[in-house]
Amino acid sequence: MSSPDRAEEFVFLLARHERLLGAYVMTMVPHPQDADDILQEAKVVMWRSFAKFEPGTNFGAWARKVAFHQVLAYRKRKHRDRLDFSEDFLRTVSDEVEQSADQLEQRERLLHDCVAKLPPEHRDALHLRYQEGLSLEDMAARLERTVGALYRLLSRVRHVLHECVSKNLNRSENEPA
Amino acid sequence: MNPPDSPAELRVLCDRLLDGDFSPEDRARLEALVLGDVALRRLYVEIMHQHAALRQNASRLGEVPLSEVLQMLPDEPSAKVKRFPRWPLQLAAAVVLGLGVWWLVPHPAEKPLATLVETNGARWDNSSLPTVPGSPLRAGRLRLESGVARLVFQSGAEVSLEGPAELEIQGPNACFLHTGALTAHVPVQAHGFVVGTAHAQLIDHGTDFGISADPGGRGQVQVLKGEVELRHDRSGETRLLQTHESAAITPDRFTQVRGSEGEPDRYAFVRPNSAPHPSTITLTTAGGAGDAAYIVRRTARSISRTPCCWSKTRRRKAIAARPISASTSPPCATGTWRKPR
Repeated sequence: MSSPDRAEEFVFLLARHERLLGAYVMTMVPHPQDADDILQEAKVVMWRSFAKFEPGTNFGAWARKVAFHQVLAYRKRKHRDRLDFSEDFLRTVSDEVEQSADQLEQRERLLHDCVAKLPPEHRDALHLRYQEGLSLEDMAARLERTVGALYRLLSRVRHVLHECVSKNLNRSENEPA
Repeated sequence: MNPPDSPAELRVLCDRLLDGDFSPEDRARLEALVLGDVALRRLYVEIMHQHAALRQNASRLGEVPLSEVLQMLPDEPSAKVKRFPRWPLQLAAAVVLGLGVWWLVPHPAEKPLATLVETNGARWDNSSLPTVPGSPLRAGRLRLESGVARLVFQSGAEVSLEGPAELEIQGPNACFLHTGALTAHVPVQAHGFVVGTAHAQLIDHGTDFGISADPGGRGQVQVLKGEVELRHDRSGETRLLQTHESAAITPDRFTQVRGSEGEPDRYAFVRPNSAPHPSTITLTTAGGAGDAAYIVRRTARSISRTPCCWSKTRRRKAIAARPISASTSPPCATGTWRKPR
């Protein structure tokens, strides 16, 4: 069945789960464009086999299963690279995401506040790196700083954000609103 | 068992993976760490997830950077436009705003009626609700002295409240505007979103709209896109407003919104015709001055009616741009988007 309702349901479910799905693929395939391709393929496969999805069951888990197979298929297709993770690693990481899916979604919500608290210099760096998608070299030219300095800066920002989210997560778990 | 400094080592490897030169040796070491220790496995997943989250959400804003929005203001000077501030720390704000767009999808597991997702220079009067971004909101009143606050109702309806304003949250898909102005974006799953005012009720049929109410109970409604239904309490009159239509609410009935003279028009519309993006509505504000100016950004091309239309950055609009056709084509055909790197 492919009624408009069905399409609507798919769009809704996908919108709800797509962000974690994208992150999930990236844990296994960190290369951004490869990850985007895989995600896109996975979405097509999900739509085609959406009839097999049982309403009311965990769409996120179902979607990740589809995506996992797409990751494997993608690897089979493309030229093997010495930087590719082993299949053992992929399965282990995949299981880890599955287990902590709820917590990861919670982390994403908390991330917003933590970014807002960053000093302007750090947010600017995030903006250039993540929004404008600049390479470190381009950022260095733009900001008149060295690549090394920006590398360290981004590393620090990631660390700070991670700690901030972890701290807030602990707090919200200890004192439920 | 890994030595205690392994988290630090893992972070170094992840940095190299994301920003630097990741070597095959690094990969082997990273795998060993992740496979060998549960805590490191989790840390790896969290770091990569955070990276992906920053990337996904930052790129969504790439659609309309604030700086670009500000440049879209018309050339001829107008009082409304002048109220726009030069956004301080534009870039920073842009990043924050972009991240703010995440939380549009309701999380059924959570009980709150709405979530406060973002505050821009907001100053709060003593409200009966928590006013920190991210706060879950239950039924109660929000009093915003100045600035803008954005909240997302459990249904998915998204409201930007412009101070000074007082909004009462009444249900997962309903609120009451005592005073002030708000704009709402109502995705398909939240159709039927209700905004009450002193003399009339607004029922959304799938729209972007703005509504304001003054302390005397008079108000204005402007549909930016879609359709809303108005029901007048006293007269019993109902009225349907379509895209770009507006109505004024008086204690007795609905009237036409008067033009530039008379009541100040709180909604300003700008329609550049050369933008590469599909219809996009962006709200922004004078932040603190109390009067908002809203920009409606439109292009000649409307959003495709086939399901093959959303991109990462446009997903939200695509969902709003129902109806989705019954076509069997995938709602997400390949190659519809690619953020250039």
